[in-house]
Amino acid sequence: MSINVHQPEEFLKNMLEIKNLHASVDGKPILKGLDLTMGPGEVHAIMGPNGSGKSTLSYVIAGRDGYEVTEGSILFNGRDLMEMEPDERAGEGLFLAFQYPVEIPGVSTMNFLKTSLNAIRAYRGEDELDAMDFLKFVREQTATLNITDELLKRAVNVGFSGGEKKRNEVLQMAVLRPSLAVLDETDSGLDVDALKIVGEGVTSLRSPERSMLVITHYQRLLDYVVPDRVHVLAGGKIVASGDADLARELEEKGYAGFSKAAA
Amino acid sequence: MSITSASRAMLDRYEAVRETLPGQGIEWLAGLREAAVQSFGRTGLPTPKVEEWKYTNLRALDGFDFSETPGNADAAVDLPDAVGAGPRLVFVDGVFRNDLSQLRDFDGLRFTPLADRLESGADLIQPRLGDLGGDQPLLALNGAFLEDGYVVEVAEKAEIAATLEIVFADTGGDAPTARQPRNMIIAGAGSRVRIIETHLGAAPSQQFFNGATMVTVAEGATVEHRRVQRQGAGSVHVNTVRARIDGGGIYDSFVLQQGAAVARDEVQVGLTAEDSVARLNGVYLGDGSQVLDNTTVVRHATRNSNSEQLYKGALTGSARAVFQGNIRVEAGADGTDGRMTNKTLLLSDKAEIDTKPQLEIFADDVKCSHGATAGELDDDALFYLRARGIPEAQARGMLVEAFLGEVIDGVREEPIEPLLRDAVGNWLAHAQETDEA
Ligand SMILES: Nc1ncnc2c1ncn2[C@@H]1O[C@H](COP(=O)(O)OP(=O)(O)OP(=O)(O)O)[C@@H](O)[C@H]1O
Ligand SMILES: [Mg+2]
Repeated sequence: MSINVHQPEEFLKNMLEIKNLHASVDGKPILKGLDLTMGPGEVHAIMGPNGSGKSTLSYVIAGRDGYEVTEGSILFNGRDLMEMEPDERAGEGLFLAFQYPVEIPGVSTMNFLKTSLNAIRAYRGEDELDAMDFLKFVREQTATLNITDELLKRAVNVGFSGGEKKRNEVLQMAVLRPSLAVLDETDSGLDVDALKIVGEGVTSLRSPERSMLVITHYQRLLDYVVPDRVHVLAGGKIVASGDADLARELEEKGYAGFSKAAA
Repeated sequence: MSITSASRAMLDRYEAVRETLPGQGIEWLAGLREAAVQSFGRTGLPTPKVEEWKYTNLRALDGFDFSETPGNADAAVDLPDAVGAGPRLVFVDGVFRNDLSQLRDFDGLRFTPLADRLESGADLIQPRLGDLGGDQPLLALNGAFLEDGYVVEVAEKAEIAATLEIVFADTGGDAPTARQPRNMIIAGAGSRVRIIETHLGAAPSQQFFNGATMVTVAEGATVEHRRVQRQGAGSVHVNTVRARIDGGGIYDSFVLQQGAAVARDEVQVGLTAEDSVARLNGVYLGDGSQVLDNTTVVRHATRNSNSEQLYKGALTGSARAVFQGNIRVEAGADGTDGRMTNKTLLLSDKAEIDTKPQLEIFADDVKCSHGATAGELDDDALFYLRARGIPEAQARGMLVEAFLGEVIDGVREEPIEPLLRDAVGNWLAHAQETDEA
């Protein structure tokens, strides 16, 4: 006799499941057989040398045009991500904090946040937030991120300092409340104070329903957001994985040993 | 020199209807018509062989049969809501419609159809009807056929709080029609007035609209002149504005070009005294195979005058836009400040812009500049918006609106602003529909 324990499907499902992912940009293969699995609420870090394909991975996940998946699959909450438009992915709960946030002249940051949130709510069949509720909600988020009302009035990222752009990415994440956030070097170009704000901001968003994939070159962000797993991406695939200690080791010793493994 | 078949048809038409044109029995008017038709007969309609008309071809008119131009002046028309509580003159198929207009008295303002002033206001009207801009064929043609139009006369120091509205509506019968109103805006010293002129047409219609507006801005006066061009899909629309601006006067022009098959809005400005200012701005939204032309000619005639121009548009389908901006600074006109900018968003592969900025400078100490750009929507921005959950069509719309925002901001909180925003929204929705089809 055997006893079958049936866990609820929700519980069994991985949040993100990338299998044998191959992707090319302009016909040039960048990702070459990448595997990565993340459970709900987990924080994983990806480290790796410049040009190893970290941002490429983030763009493939977000669905940017021109990033062609030639082999493999990505499942997000059990659904095929490749079948979805970028905005549908966001509607499903995916968020990418850009390594290089884009400037949008003529669109105020406030309007942008509101339009984004309402688009995602509409995708989920929820009503639009009314203007007052929205304002209140945004103010709650900006307070901890030290973002002024003046900044919210300005056009998206136009004339923002490097640090302001990165804080603006975290603000968007705080407003949109994704279930999976990919943070591509959100800690780059920040001074110590800004790093603290961003680090604490991201940490406060950590929850059992929210997974994070943190792409970084440095241990310092990971001091705030301690990862469950750390992966080394080199030559277009994951060449090593470990716990939080791996990040410290990498910062000390560099990628020399791993790059060889990739080749 | 041979003239186009449409030109020939217009001359024939003139012979046929001269006895029935408005203002019969007014001798000076008959004389002006005669001089104008002679002038037109020498050149006919401009063709692309003429430098100023190289990019905009009026040959569509060759397909119009003008032997009957009935019009349907009694027709019921679907008018847009009034922009405000100000007075409104409505012309339907070339005829003033008292029943559809709201005439309201304001201190210091006379706002009437031209017909009301032909006899009483001859001194004022006559030179402005006789002005053919130095034998410009379209002004000559307008001068020959000369139909009813509007006259705005503002007394010295009068500040008119309400926006004056004029609607030219075309009911779009089966036969082609030609409408040739002549209008006047005469602003006395230190006065202030805002005018919004809307051109509507039922689609599809083969209407030839050839309007002319003579503007005089006396010392220290301000005239805000708004034009909304939304004629029917088969129309040819040419509108010529000639403005003369005195010391400290401001002529502030804004045009939305959206309708017609072929359209040209031409503003000719003479800055004739110190501290006179011309602001010429416009938005154009083209789709299908439309040709939308904005032409400006700004002449800085004396010291220390100022002109600023910003024209921006978005094009889809195989629409084409033309921007020709000419700034001429006469000898001795030192201290001139003249700037013009033209920017176009090309939303399809087949859309096209011909932009021709021209500076002719005969003075030494001047600040003049021009800039022109054309480009597609920024893919990075589009992806950024989509990555935040905004569907593609909406994201594209946001970027187009953001692009045009710079020029729409210039008429913020005016009655034309909501019209513009609606126009952009409707245009986008329509453009996206036809792109998908
Ligand atoms: N449009 C493109 N055309 C050709 N090659 C490209 C293109 N975009 C990216 N690449 C190449 O893909 C490789 C991976 O780039 P990617 O931006 O993913 O690296 P990364 O790991 O994020 O690097 P970094 O740490 O510097 O941010 C690089 O060699 C890069 O030059
Ligand atoms: Mg990168």
